[in-house]
Amino acid sequence: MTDSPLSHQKVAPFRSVWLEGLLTFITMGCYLFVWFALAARDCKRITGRSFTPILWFFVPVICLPLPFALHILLSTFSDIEKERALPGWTKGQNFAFNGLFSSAYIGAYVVGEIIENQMLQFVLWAVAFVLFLLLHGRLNRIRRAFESEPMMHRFAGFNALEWVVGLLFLALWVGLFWALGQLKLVNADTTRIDPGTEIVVAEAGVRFTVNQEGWENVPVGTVTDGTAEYELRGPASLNNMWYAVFTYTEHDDFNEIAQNRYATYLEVLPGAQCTAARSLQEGTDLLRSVVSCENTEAGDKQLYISHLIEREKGLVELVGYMWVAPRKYTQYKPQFIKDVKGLIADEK
Amino acid sequence: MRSKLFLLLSLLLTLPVSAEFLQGDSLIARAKQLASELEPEAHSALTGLERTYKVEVKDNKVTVYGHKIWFYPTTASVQNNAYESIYFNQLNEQLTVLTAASISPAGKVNYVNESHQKVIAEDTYNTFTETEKMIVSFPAVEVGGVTLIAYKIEETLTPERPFWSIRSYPQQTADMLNYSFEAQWDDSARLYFDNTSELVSCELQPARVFCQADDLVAAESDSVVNWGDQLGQITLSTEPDWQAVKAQVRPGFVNAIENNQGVQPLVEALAESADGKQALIQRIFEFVARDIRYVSRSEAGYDIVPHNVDETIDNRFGDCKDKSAVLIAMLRAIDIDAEPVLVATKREREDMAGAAAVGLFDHVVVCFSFAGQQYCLDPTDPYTQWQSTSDWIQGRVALNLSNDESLTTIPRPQFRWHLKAKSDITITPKGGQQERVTLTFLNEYASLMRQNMAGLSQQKRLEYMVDVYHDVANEDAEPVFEISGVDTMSSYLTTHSETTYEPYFNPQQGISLAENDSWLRSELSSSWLNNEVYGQFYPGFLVESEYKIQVPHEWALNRFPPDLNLEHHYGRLTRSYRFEPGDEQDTLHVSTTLSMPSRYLAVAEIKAFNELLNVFYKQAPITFGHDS
Repeated sequence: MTDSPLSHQKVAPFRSVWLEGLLTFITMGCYLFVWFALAARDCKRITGRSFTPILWFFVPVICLPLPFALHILLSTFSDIEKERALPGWTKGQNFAFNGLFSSAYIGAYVVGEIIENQMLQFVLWAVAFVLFLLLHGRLNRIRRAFESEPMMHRFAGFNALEWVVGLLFLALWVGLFWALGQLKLVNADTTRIDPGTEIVVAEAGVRFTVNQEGWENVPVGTVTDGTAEYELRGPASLNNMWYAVFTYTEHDDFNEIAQNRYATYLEVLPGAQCTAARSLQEGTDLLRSVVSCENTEAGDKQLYISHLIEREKGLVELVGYMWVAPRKYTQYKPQFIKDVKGLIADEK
Repeated sequence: MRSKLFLLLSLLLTLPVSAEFLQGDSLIARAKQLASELEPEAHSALTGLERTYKVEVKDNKVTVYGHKIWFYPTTASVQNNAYESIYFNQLNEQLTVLTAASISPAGKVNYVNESHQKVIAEDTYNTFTETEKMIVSFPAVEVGGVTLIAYKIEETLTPERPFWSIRSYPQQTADMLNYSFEAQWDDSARLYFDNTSELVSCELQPARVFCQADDLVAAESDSVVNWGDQLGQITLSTEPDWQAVKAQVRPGFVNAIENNQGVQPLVEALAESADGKQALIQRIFEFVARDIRYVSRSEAGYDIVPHNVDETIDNRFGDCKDKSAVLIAMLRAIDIDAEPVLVATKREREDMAGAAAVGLFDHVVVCFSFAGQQYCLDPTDPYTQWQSTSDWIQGRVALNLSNDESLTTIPRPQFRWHLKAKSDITITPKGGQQERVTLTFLNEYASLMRQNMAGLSQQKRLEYMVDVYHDVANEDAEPVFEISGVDTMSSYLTTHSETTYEPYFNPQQGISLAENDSWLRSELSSSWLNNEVYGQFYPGFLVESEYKIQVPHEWALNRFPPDLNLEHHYGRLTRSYRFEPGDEQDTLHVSTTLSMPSRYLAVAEIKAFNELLNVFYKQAPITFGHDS
């Protein structure tokens, strides 16, 4: 036996945790927005309290109100369970669940945006996902105590709209994996670089160490006009970030190239602030030059750095470029520069 | 076996065991024999066929016999070498040419007569030696011919002058096929022997020494060589050690300095115009270096003995011994324990000095400690401030007459040449410039510039500096100079110049300028070393350059000179800049320091040293501009 809600409006029908999980997973979590809106709607219908479902749609989007919203939702669930004498959670369990879910959910965002640790982000998403399935099981139990009616007719557990959206997302997934597969085919030489890897560019007679995550070796011409000997691309999550190794013949003049870099960076980075320094390579009379220019353009930070090394015959240069948001700039710049300055020339 | 023993015995019997001094017909016959045995095509430059010295000391009389035979295979060798130089001291030595002649390839003998002989003084300024040189010009020398000369130099050892020495260099700048040196002495004068040449073999007996060498290859020449430091030599001397040398020279100084009645009033007079002890040292040194003029006074009895201090003060002239004695007496009058120090101005290596001998030295200076610092003053140098050291004695082998030390060297400063250059440049909106440069030459560099300009009139001094400016900065410019510090003995000499340059670039076409740090570049280019065979001492350079460059504000400079921190074990070049924006003019301050400390460079290092100078040279331009 089920009762109608207080408002005599029917709640959403029961749907198994696994189908709910599948829908959430395939829509990359977008279904959560709908889930929160429907949960709020059903709570309003059952308790008659002033829930505004459309606002609950945004709760998963704007992360910060999540703990407060969840507290309201869980308290309402408990009240309903109490009133209907349904098995439910204690206040402590509510509190613990809220803490865990909010932490995992918000934490996943924070880790993704700021710390950029993909493994940790994945784990947090997984934790939040499992907790969500528990929450949905609890809502299922409540909904079963009331008369329910689907918004649209369901086929095999999902209504038509959900099928359409689900299939669209599925197509999107397939397309994405296909595209990634294609990209991998095109960039057959692309190799991910583990942090701390010493890159040896034998053809240029240089080596340097990449100490940041997310770098990959790309074919020559990917980030430059093809005149480089070797190219690396930085983390894909950033706008643009690369290293390129150039070589010059013994007829190229060290001073001229170092100065040209300086002038060129000033030309391509309007209003740039630059530093230029020259020193001798330890124990030799061979020069090294480091020219670095940075500017701010349309809110983003840009940096060019050139480390030019003179050898007995010819010159070799490592150029680094980054174009990122200010927060990322602060985060990436020090090690980015350090890695460029760490260029070592072996006699070629 | 028997035949091998016979061969060995034959070889031993044919080896010379004494130097056979020849003269007259014997020498001519020997020269002809050696010439006939020669393969002319094997020799493409002047070649010595034989050089023999024989020294005899008997009853306090020293006689040095020498004969030389030369072969001339080319016109150049005839043109450049058909003469002989014999060095001797006219005061106590007697030179006699016994035989001298040339022999043509056809065998005709042409004897030297008196008209072919000339004696000239070999003395150089600032030294006390009274060496003469007899030049014998051989007549009728032809390509393929030979010359020969035999001579003797006699000297008697006296109680006043009981010392004697000889120095022979087996290897010279021409090949020598036979060389021998023999000395014998009796009980009247024990001789002490030393050989630093690895090319000769010597046999030393109780009162005799014999050295011999065959086929000595000519020593290679070079850009800068102190032959005495590079070539091995045989030395024979009456002195057993350096303490004995001191014992020979020191009494003369003690005696000369004791006669110093005129010193105290002089010092008191100088003290009136001096504020403090340093200033008084300066005044005393100026007096001795400038008010007592240099006159060579090594007449009989005074070749190593100074004249009395009072006599020198009265005369207001003297040589390095006399001036040193006066300076010592005056410094001692103000309680500075100054001492005479003998200097060998052509020697830098103590290990190549050979046997202890008075004759090693040709100069004397005054050394003392003051405020924990060691100073060596050359009173014959009227240009160098007392806290600097005259460049020609720096690093030279020296012997302090007043302590127990053996040979030492006169200290060298870290930087012999020290220059400060301040350039104040205003670049006009049309691309011309006003330049004001202040050059401050310090210490030994001030001394050098003072020496170059002291003898010139004021107008000539200005012209001299304009010439220097043309050489260093811009040959088309017309700088206007002011010079100060030439007529003093201060530690610095300063020049100011103002130069106006007409517009030389069009600012409308972009601002990209390179201001050559000319004075720094000039010092760098003058530092290049040219030796290829022997090591060389680099005297050290310190250049401090300051540029203040003013440009119109609207040029909006955004490219500045790179910071330089070029650190190398031979030296260092550093540069930094500061930019000050202004309302109408922006100012770029650029400071550059070149520091190349003095050091000895082995020949293998010279190339690397020059390459470093080249690297520094290329970094001299100060580049700046506007790019957008």
